Amino acid sequence: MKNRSGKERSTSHSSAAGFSLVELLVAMAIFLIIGGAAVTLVQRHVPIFTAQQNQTALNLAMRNAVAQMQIDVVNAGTGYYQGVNIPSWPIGITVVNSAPGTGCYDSVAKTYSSTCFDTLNVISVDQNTPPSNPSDLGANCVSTTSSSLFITPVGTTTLAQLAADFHTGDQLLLVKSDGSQMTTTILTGDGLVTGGKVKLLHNPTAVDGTNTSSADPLALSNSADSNKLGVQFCNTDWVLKLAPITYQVDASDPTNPKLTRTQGGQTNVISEQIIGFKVGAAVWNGTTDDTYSFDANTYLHDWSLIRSVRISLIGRTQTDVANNFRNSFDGGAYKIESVSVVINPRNLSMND
Amino acid sequence: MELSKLRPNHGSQRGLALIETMIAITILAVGLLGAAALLAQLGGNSTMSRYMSDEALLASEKLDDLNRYPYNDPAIAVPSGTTAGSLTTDTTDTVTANGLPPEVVDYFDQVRISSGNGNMVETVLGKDAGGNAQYTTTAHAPDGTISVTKSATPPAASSDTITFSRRWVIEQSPAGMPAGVRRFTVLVSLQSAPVPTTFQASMLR
Repeated sequence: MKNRSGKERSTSHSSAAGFSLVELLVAMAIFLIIGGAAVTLVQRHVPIFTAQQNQTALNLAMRNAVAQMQIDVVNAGTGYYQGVNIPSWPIGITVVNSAPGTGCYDSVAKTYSSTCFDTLNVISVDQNTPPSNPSDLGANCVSTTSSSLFITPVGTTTLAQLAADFHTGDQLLLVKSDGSQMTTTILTGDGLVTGGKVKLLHNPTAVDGTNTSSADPLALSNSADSNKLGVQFCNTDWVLKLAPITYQVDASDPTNPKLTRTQGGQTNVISEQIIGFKVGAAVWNGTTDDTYSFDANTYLHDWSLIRSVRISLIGRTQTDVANNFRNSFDGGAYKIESVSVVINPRNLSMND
Repeated sequence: MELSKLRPNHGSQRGLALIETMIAITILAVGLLGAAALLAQLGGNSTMSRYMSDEALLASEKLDDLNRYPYNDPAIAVPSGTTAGSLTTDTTDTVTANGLPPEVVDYFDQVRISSGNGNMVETVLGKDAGGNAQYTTTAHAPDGTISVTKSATPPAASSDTITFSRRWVIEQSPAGMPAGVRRFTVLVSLQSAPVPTTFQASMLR
């Protein structure tokens, strides 16, 4: 017994150099508890990490959208043919402000319809189509109130080359050589060479130079600004083919409004989950700059007065209802980011 | 027996000594504190990058805002010396330039941003026609309504209001540039921030 107990003791003694089973169990239990706590701690950061990633993505998307708009807006009004230097270029940007407070927004479902958002058109001239002079058959001037007009090429451009540049659906800008009057129309047929001129079939304008919204999707002509509009254009004036860029919000999926950019008939999504897009304009009133107006009626749609635009863009991350977070903007289960920038269309003389 | 004498603390082998426990807890605490500090630092960095992102936008916005003035406008004229404005102090000058009537020009402003009260609110400090401080507040609501209001005092701040201050300097013909060039430099800094952040950007004209 003694020997055995001596053996036992010696066994336990030899194990005392390492850990006893109880010690090991206690150590493992402590390790499990602490390890578990540590894992829980890290796990709590996983949604935070995801939220941060989402917010970074939103930040990037918003900045990209703004950068794209900055590039386009500062170049508004460019692209007209070299040598055709129209003083006081009449138009660079048009804004279609939505009527506020039309119930476009469902505060419970957080869904949006298109009337919540503005449309920004950046007007520039198609660089591949040379400018041409209007000239009716047997007369110096054309009237846009008829459904056809004739143009003659400038310089070395041939009639066939000029005619080939015009197609159904193209939008034209007719502008006086001094930029004082303009109008716009959309072609209803391709360009035709006839009688030593190019014939263009188009939607006739009204006698005050305005056009229907379908024949003027860019809202260039507005009766409130009728002193800038005209219907008579002569052989020193210009017919220009437009290559506009349009920013608008596609709310066909009310749960995911998308900011789109349309150029040359091609529409690209710039950013998804855009829940606010408003464009205000600062106009020159002769002495001081007014504040940015988000209602084009206040400056009578006189685009030639726009000195700079303020774009207010709001985006959101993916909805995460499981998360307790609710933002203080509209109470939605998502983060939001707002970007408000001033952009100055540098290339316009803008009646300075 | 000899072995047991060698280890008189035989009974304490069943648990850990107080000193051992304390050492273990200390090591653990140091490790956990390190991890916590790391996470806190990560949070601080992301806050800082967010503010810097805002500042970068505000700087480029101010540059574009300054660029909309005609070249001869007092707001961007350098009537005497080589610079107008300052990046270190809020500067106001009465500028007489290019035959235009004297104009009081601020070379600083403030931008307050918040998402409180159900609106995206941005307030910019400027001057009215009489030269008094004027706060222009743009509030963008979820339903697409947007309002621009002017007030002599700033609108009440909500808990998430952050205030950026902007200062700018305009240099006429800076060294190394062709004559007639103006350089605009804007410094945006965050007031009352947990992490001080600044952002500076320049533009030539």
